[in-house]
Amino acid sequence: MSKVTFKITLTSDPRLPYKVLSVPESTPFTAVLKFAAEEFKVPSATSAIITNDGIGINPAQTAGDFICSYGMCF
Amino acid sequence: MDVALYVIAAAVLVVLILFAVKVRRQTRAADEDQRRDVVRAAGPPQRAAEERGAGMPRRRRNLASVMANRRPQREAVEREEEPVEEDEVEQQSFQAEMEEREERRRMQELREQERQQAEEKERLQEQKQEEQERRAKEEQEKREEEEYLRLKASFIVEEQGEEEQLSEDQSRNLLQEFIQHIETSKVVLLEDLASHFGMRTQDAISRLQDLLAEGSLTG
Repeated sequence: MSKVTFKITLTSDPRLPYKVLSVPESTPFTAVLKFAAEEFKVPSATSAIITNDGIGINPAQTAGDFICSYGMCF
Repeated sequence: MDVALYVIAAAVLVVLILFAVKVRRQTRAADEDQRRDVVRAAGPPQRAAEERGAGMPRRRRNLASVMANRRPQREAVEREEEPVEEDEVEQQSFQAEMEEREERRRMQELREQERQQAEEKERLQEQKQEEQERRAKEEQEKREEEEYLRLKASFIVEEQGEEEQLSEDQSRNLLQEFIQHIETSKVVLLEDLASHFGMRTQDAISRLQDLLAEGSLTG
């Protein structure tokens, strides 16, 4: 099972803590969001993940699809 | 022969008698009806027959005056009967009206009862539906939770930390370094430049274009 990696930064904290998560490719992005919210101890219902250039992510995508849309398919 | 004749004659006589009796009855009934109609249409009662004093000779009056006196008596009797009949009729109509009202009330109550039953049934059905929807939602949430827990087992946090905030000096130094690197290398691949300074290729391109526009870089 191939894995993809995300570096997620909590921008609501001035210290800008980050975590690098490694998840299976087929994981629904909602699960990634939920897991990241749990790790940063914030509520997942009011959280969202956006890219560096401010593009919102469709949580219905899988993690692999999202990475692929950034031209990083293998 | 004679006997036969007698028998036939007797039969004819019997038939005639029966016919006469029937006609008489019909006539009497018609008279009664006519009398009643006349009585109803008549005005205030006339004086009754004058009383005869005791010891007065019994005088035979003529038939017409006797009938004329007897008629008011009959009318008075009939008039007394009339209120009674009218009372009975009134009572009957009152009773009928009461019964009708009672019937109407019963029908109304029945309709009301039926309406209430229908409303109750509808309410129960809605409740049941809501209950079903709630249960389905709970089951789905439970399933999603179980799925998430199953996936979570395969997640790994490889690294964590806090981003370094560049101070103003540091960022100015970085810019100088950027320009220096380009000037030194002369020919540089944009991807290499971006990875060297920890930025994306697009960011590196836009930075270069800004510098060119400023005039900090030429060529």
